[in-house]
Amino acid sequence: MLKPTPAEDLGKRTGSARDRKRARGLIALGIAFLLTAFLSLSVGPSGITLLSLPQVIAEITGYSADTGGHEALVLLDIRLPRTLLAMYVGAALAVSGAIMQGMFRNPLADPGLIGVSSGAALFAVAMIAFGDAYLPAIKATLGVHALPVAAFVGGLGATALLVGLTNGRRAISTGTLLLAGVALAALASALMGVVAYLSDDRALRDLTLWTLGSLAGASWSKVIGTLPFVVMLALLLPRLIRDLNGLLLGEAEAYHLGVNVQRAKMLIVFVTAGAVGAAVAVAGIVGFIGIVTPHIIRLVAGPDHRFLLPASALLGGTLAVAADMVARVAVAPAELPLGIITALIGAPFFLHLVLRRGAHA
Amino acid sequence: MPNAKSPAIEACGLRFEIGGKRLVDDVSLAVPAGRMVGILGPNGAGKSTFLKLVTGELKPTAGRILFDGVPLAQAHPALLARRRAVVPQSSQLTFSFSALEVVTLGASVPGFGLSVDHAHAAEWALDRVGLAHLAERKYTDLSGGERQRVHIARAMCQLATAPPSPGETLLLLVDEPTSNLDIGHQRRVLGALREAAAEGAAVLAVLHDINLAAGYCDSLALMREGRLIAHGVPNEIVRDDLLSHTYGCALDANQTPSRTPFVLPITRDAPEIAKPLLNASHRCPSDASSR
Repeated sequence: MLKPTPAEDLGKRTGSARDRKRARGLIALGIAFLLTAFLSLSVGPSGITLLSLPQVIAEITGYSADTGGHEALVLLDIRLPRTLLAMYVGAALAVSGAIMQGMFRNPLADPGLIGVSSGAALFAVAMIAFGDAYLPAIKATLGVHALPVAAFVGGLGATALLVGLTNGRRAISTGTLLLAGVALAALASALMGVVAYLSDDRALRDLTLWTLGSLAGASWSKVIGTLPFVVMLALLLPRLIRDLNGLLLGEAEAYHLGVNVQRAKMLIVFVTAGAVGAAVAVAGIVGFIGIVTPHIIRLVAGPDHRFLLPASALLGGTLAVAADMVARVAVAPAELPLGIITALIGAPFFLHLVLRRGAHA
Repeated sequence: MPNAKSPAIEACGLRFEIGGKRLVDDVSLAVPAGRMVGILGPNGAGKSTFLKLVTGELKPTAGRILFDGVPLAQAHPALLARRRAVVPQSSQLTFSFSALEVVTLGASVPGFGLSVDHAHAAEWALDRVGLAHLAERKYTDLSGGERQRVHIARAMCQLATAPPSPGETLLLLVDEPTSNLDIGHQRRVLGALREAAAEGAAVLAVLHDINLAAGYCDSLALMREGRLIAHGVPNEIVRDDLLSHTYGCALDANQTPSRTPFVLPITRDAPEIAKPLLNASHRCPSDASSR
């Protein structure tokens, strides 16, 4: 019984057929990701479209007469960093949602809903409000990375607290998880209120921005500040795939399959806090991408993290870029905060999920 | 029964306490390679807790576990998973993996790149428990008995793809594998465990059904209130006095013509109580049936 007979007689390779289908799905998602990004470059209240891109390139390389650099400025210094950041924010939030859902074995876990984003925002706001006065050395040393790092620390604190509170439980019930998250988020926003009370006007404006979520302040320095976190995600996520698949069975079963459960959970907390922290640092609290995206992917292709993680990253990025386009043009020349768009789409979706699950379990 | 070398699984003086309660009390048990040992006992006897100590899921308060003479406490989880598969009593899986994907998780131990051999092993294991036709069905849509068989297939897939290492026995630890199964699948599953033992694995199974255990296991260990009260071949264990004492009710053990012991969950006077009922057919009131 312990050794299967040679491979011929067992018929069709259902497993590898599915893998081929998934590979094609990833390619399609990748194409959608890039197309949305290009579209995003040509949309905006200034009326400049991608058609002016050839001219801009000619201008930069010095082969064309100078037209004052207005178009180059819009495309390269405003829209390109904004699009890149939207891609990152969407991908990071979707992947964080997917891995938290795997760790908690609950498809309703989302960094925005369970307080991780709030923790990150609290620390980011505190860094803005008090950084210059109390931590000038740290702020000066970290430079453009100061905000993402502060948000990372805040996200880490919130996630660690949540894992600590729910540690050792078997499957964590949706109720416990969401209520613990609501409590954490409430605590974080109360503390943000304290920060706002103690800080000056400029910090107060930023605070409003964090809680609604917006990419209006996108810049190249923010892109550079985010870069280390992109590298971290690219390096650490592949290591988590096998562990997460095992963890879906339960922590004991994962251990029986050779997963070092405690180490895996620590790594997941670290990665989530980093990814969400950097996203919050550039865009504030953008909800629901982390819950909607993995859910759609699982519905189509199942919960295998080998496919779920890369597909969530691509689809999450696509959704965030598309939502940001809507945010820019919906009420032009003014613009809506990104977090409002994602909440308008995501909240009914979330409600649907909660009610449907309620009927089952 | 003891081999020249140390037994594949050896539990020495295992004790487990939680909140001042002693759930497993000084249990010592050995399972040699190529043998299947069943653990029996009433509800709350500490059978599952004992098995969790052996799998390493729980840390014993005192005592130790040795696999081929090497302490479990020193084993790295990843290396341990290459030789020891565990089938839990129930699973918390709520995500919609297909049945085949769940089984394939058993082959994910050495690394996440799956080879054709691993995919083949998963299909083979699923076929082995009679579920090949449900390979693409969602796990969450399966019945309790089907889910149980999927997890048994997962454990078989894990051991089948385990890279062989010299001097290490494959270990199969199973908690109530047949609790949701009909008699046909009970036979199928226990037959598969039996074959695993015949191929050289050491099998330790918590079982509820005394007759199944007596029919398939090389030896039976009887637990009560956390203690091991007897361990021996089925004919030594399935006895009136021992079972009546362990389960706290009068039980009559008997033997099939081929000397396999069995026990029925009835007492001698039960058939007489049942007799009049056998002939009584139910009559509906005539006025109710006329409308």
